[in-house]
Amino acid sequence: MEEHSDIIAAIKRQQLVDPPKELADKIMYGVEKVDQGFTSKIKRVFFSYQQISQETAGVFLGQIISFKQCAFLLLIVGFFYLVAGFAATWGFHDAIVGGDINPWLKIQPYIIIASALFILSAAFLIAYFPAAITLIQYAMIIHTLFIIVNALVLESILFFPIALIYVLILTILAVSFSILIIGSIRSVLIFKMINEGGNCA
Amino acid sequence: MTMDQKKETEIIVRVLRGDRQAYALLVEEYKVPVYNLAYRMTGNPADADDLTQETFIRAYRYLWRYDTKRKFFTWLYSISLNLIKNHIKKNKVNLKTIDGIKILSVPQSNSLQDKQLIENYDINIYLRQVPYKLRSLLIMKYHQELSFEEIAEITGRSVSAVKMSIYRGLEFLKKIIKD
Repeated sequence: MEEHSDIIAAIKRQQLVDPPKELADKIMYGVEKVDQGFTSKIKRVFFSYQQISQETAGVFLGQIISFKQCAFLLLIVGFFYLVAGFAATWGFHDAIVGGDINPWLKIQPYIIIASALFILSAAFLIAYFPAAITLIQYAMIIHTLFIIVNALVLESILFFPIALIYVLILTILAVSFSILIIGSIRSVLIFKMINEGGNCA
Repeated sequence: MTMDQKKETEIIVRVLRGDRQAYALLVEEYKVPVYNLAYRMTGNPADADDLTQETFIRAYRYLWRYDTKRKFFTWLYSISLNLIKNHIKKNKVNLKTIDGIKILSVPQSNSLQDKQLIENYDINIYLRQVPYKLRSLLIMKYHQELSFEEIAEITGRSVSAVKMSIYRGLEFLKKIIKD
């Protein structure tokens, strides 16, 4: 780029301009407003990994700081879903085979089994392909949203109060598991970030 | 350009944990380069002010998405460039004219400082005629003195593509100046 040396020199000669003195204050004011927003509060529920990992994951394993611990947690949850799925399939057997019930209700056991397979696959990925952990985090968020949507659909189908309470309890349990997993993933990410100087996904 | 990577990561961790004031450290560190990028691209201090604010606020809002494989400032620059691009598209201000007015207001003087000032304004006029993408690359490379690798990371292009574009930008600028 020898032939452009004059042009390059002219661009380089341009001096740095000082931003207005109040710029930082304006930014921090804007940041404060962001924090007060509703979406920010929602995100904090999902991404305040520190609190979640210490208060929930700690119940099982103490603070989760490694990929293997995280994979193990997913394995436990996945296994729980799998057992619950097979139990539901067995319990719903008559209704699935010959019952005249809403098709969405009929597929609930299979949804649970599908969730189990998804979580077990995620455990496998984290254990053997740790780079996929960020992707799994997003997939878990989508899974959580699906649980909530599924619960809302069931609420509109079911009429028996006991059934509604049952759905509500199971949904709270499933969402809690998801938050636990997301919190654990964030814990692992942050621990790696601190200890490896930012070389983690 | 960057503060110590580990220190920066620690600050980001603090912010993500809810320590909003820690973000002020990042703002202090990068407000000058981000403001200058916006100023050189738009030629308007008020727009540069707004765009810098928007850049930092957006970065704060989406800090949870920040991929720590990247340097923080390259991520910040990506946000800034997107905002600047949208701003330029939206406003389509005739910046050449704005700077032309400024040139007329530069006092005629023989002092070296004033001559430099005029030269600076001249190159700005020519730069504004360079297409947005090439202009941003020239500013980042020669005004902000970023490396080809850093620019590639910011723009999401390969190093060779960045080098090629910068060369094209210089050629474009040379042609405008000659004309």
